[in-house]
Amino acid sequence: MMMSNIVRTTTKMVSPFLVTYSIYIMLYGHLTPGGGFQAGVILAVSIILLMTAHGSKNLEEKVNETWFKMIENIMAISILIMVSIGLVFGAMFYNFLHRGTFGLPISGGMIPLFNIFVGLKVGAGFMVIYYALLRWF
Amino acid sequence: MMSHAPVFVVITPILGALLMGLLNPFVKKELYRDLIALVSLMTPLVLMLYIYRTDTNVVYEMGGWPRPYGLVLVVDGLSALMVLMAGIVTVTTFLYSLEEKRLLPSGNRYNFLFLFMAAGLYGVFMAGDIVNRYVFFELTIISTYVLLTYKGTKESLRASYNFLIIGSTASFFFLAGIGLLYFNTGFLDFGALRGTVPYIDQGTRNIIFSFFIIAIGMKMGLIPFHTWFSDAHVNAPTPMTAILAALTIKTGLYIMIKLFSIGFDTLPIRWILVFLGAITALTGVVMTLKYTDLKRILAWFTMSQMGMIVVSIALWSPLGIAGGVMHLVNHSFFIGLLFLSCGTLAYVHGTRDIRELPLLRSNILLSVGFLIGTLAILGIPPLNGYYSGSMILQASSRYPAVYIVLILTYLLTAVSFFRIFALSSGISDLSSPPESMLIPLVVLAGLCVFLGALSPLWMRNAVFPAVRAIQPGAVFEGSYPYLNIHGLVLVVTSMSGAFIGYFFAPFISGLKLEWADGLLSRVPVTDAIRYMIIVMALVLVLFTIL
Repeated sequence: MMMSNIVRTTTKMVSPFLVTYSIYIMLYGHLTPGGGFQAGVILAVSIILLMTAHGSKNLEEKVNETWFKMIENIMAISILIMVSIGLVFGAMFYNFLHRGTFGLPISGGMIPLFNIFVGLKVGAGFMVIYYALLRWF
Repeated sequence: MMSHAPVFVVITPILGALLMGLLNPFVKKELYRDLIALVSLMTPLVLMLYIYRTDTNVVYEMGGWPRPYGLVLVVDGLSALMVLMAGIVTVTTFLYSLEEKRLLPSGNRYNFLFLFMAAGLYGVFMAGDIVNRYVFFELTIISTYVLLTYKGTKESLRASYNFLIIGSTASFFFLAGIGLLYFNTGFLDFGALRGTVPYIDQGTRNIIFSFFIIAIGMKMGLIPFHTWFSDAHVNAPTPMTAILAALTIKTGLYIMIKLFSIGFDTLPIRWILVFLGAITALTGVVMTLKYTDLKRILAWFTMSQMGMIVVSIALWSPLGIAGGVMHLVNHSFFIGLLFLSCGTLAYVHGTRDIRELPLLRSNILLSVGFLIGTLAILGIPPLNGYYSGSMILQASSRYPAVYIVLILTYLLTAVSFFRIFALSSGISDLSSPPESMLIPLVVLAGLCVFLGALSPLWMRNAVFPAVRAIQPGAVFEGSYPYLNIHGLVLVVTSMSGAFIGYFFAPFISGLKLEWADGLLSRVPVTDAIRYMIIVMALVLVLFTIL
């Protein structure tokens, strides 16, 4: 099912900004309010907006449910692996990367990486939930 | 590297579950998926055995952050015992479910959810702070909601939905209680709470506990919060019923023990729990007298036994805790055995109605397994229910009313079980169920006998350290011989109950108990939540009066 021309044009214009905003929240999660989870939700919303406006049937060959499932799983496993690297340095979850100076985008050791993984995982997870709900229609 | 073992107890099932999700499209053979699941369920058990052998007081700091502020995993005497119990029961029930899974309509996500549930259980038992315990509990129970619906029938969906609504309400209250606790002390870590909670004034402490009482009451199936209990047990697949009865409801009890140990062990709180536990013990067993569905009867038995354990622990004497903890572990083995043999009987004979089940004339292993479970729950000497039951009676002997209630519970348990044997008839069928169903039965029955025979030994070497982890200076006076006067009382009670049950079975089945059913088991969700909140308000009023 496709929505009207106005909605389609607007979502097309809005969704890139949403993606940018989500990437900003993801990358600055350790400095500003927000973080991986919020970024992931916004990322998922930007795709869901496009899908509801253009009809999920028309986007079938461009976005696929299995990808999201794979992304979610791979991200969860990468988080576990990254967290386990800390074992070499002393403890699980040990922040083994260089901490950097406070306030710079690249600082805080593995926290930005953590935010990125969580963001992608949550975004993919929300997409999977959306697909599950879509099956009822 | 082995110093990191505690964290792998929790991580391995999660890793296994994620691998399962990743490999699902590529690995088509069911055998490989089951192997991955089995390996990731066995690993925590092996690791915990290793930790238990070397050192039973491990605090693992995540990320190297020290205790009151960082997240820690704690392995002390109690949590190690609990994790070992959970490990044995999850592995055996998973072995059992290999066969049962083929009957379920959508079996391919079963392993995934099962592994997450196991990880949550280990997390609940090992987390060192109250918020992580809450999070892990949610992990367990959300997986359980889904697993309960695996039969796909309308009743199972309804039971799971009831459980979902009641459980979410209870979790909400638990979270509110945690918030109040944090607001008043500034800590979430159990070690720090132990030092600060006693300094909160009595009124505030009671208010906080009245929030917690809904959560732990719902998880344990205490009387006003129990409405989800029997339906959820009956409509779940057999392995899930065993897990629910043997482990999931024990997490509520474990949280109760922890709350008591950090300073909620003042008098009105404990007496309210003793009261609720005693009511649960007696009512649960009365309800079993009217049903003919074996699984429903066992579900009500679980509830009554939980009531007994709650009474014993809420008395909060070292002996009471020891008896309660020991009975908790024993109960999870014999109730697991009973539920699994009930499921196997239903698998062989195609019905769960006791009037059509030849209980003692089935396959020899099956009949003996069911009999061992029965005798263990009744506390007949060589089996494991005897010693812990006698400890519970000994601990409560200072309070005659409690003692009488517990004796009555044992009497009625025996009556009810031998009513089942008297009523059971049907065509004898000696055909053997598949081996993967029999092995768990043999393992659990063997544990019942083995732990029963060695009761005083593992009481001294495993249960007393567990009690000392809760009450650091607990002293046990006396030698606690295997054959003691309370044990004799227990055996005589059970024997006389067995005679009454066997010879008056038709009379007992004719009793009119419909009113109890309407009041206790067929309660709509909205009413159940209303009950819960009313009870919380009543508890608050009681606290202000006392």
